[in-house]
Amino acid sequence: MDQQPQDRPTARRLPGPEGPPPGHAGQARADGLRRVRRWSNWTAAALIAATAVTTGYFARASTSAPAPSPAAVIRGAAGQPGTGSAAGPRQPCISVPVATSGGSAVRAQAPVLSCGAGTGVPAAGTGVPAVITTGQWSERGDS
Amino acid sequence: MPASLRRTMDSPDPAGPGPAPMGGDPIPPAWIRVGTGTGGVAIAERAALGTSARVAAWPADGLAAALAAVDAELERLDQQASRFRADSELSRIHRTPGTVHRLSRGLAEVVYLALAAARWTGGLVDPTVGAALVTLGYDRDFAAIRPGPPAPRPRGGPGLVPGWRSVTMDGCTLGLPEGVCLDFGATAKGLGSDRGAAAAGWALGRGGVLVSLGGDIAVAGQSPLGGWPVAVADSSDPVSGPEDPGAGGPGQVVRLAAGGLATSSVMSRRWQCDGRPVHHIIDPRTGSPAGGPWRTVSVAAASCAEANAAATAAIVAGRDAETFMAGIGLPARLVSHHGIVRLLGGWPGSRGGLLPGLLPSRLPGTAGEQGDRD
Repeated sequence: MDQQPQDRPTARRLPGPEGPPPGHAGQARADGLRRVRRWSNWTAAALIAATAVTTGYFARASTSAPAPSPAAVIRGAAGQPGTGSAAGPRQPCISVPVATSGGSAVRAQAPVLSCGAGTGVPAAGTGVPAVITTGQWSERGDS
Repeated sequence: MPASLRRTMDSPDPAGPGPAPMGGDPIPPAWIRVGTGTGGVAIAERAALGTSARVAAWPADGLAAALAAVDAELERLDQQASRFRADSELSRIHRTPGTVHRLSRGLAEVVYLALAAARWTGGLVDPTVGAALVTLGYDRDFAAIRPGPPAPRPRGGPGLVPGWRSVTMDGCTLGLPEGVCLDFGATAKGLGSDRGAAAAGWALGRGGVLVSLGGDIAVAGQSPLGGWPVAVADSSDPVSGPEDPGAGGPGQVVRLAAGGLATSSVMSRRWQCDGRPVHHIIDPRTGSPAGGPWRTVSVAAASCAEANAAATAAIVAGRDAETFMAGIGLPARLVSHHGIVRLLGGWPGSRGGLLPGLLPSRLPGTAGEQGDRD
């Protein structure tokens, strides 16, 4: 036999914007909602922070080492390149070659470290060679 | 962690009371510190594998650990693949009758890499050029070669290079036809730099390291600001040139932040054979020293072994070198016998600069992979 509408239990109205209904159950519900909202806020903040850290990590890992900015060069020159810090050793700044690639048995030059001494690099050869540049398959474009 | 690295890191420091004029831990006795003028980076070099090895490390106090790791890798590679050491694994294989040989994992990696390079370059580099080199007199450490009267042996020729397809590998089992002499000159030095840099990077644990074997360079870890500055040299003087990067060839300074950089040149490792000058880069198609318009080629790649193979292949390719380099798409610097320099594939301009980073690897198993290779 079908249940008639009048047989249903009395419907209870959900708490509205005016706040929870008075009584113990309403107070408990409000506390629960507040707790959930607080957890949700902390979770969102943690997610945002984790995303930022991860993005920074991958950005650093996937980018080849950038050319030193003037600020970096100045800092390297004023400070002591390579000296340690609480976060680990600082990247040194080297302006003169540490090795030579010239085919087997080409002797390497003795390097000298000097930051902030200009960005020019010494030419290893004598005279000015004729340089022909082609960029037909260069992704970056040759300079 | 691979066993080879565990041994490197756990073994007692073989350095002994080596010189430490600039402070820091004592370094292994075979190494000589190179003055840097500051404590930010430490550099040392020594003779190794018939050429010179140089290691630069930062922070400077990690140099001793880096050198010990590089020493272990170089000794291992030399023991595996040297054509000039009678006690090397490769020499034993050359002396052993039969066509099937069981290799150590380390030598298997060397052979696989050489075959991969041959396939990748369309046979422009080929590990079966050993007999051709021997007939030209390059049958001992290069420093021991002396000019002399014509040797009673056949001149070079295509019959002396049976071709890389005659060599087979199945796991660690090598199939090598009788009489075929392997030479890994186009890849082994680069592989040594790759192995050394990777091992030194592990040993350092922080900072970064550069390893150069005769000018074939690999880096690991974090580079200095702006990358490791490296001079790319060319020498046009066959007498004094190989020892002097400033002897007349045009040079350049570039910066390397990742991967490897290698230079092949017909101006180095030259000697006299039957009264004519010869060099060590063999064209597998002719069995004779490569001709062509390019005397020096430098290439940057994801690994030093890859750069080494590409640079040698470009020399062998001769007039087709630019087409070959276009096909593989790696940054390259070619210097002709007339001193003309051609920059390809994103190589920095004449004022120098940072080489392209994060280049895709073209060869399997060469981009700093570590494994148990004993």
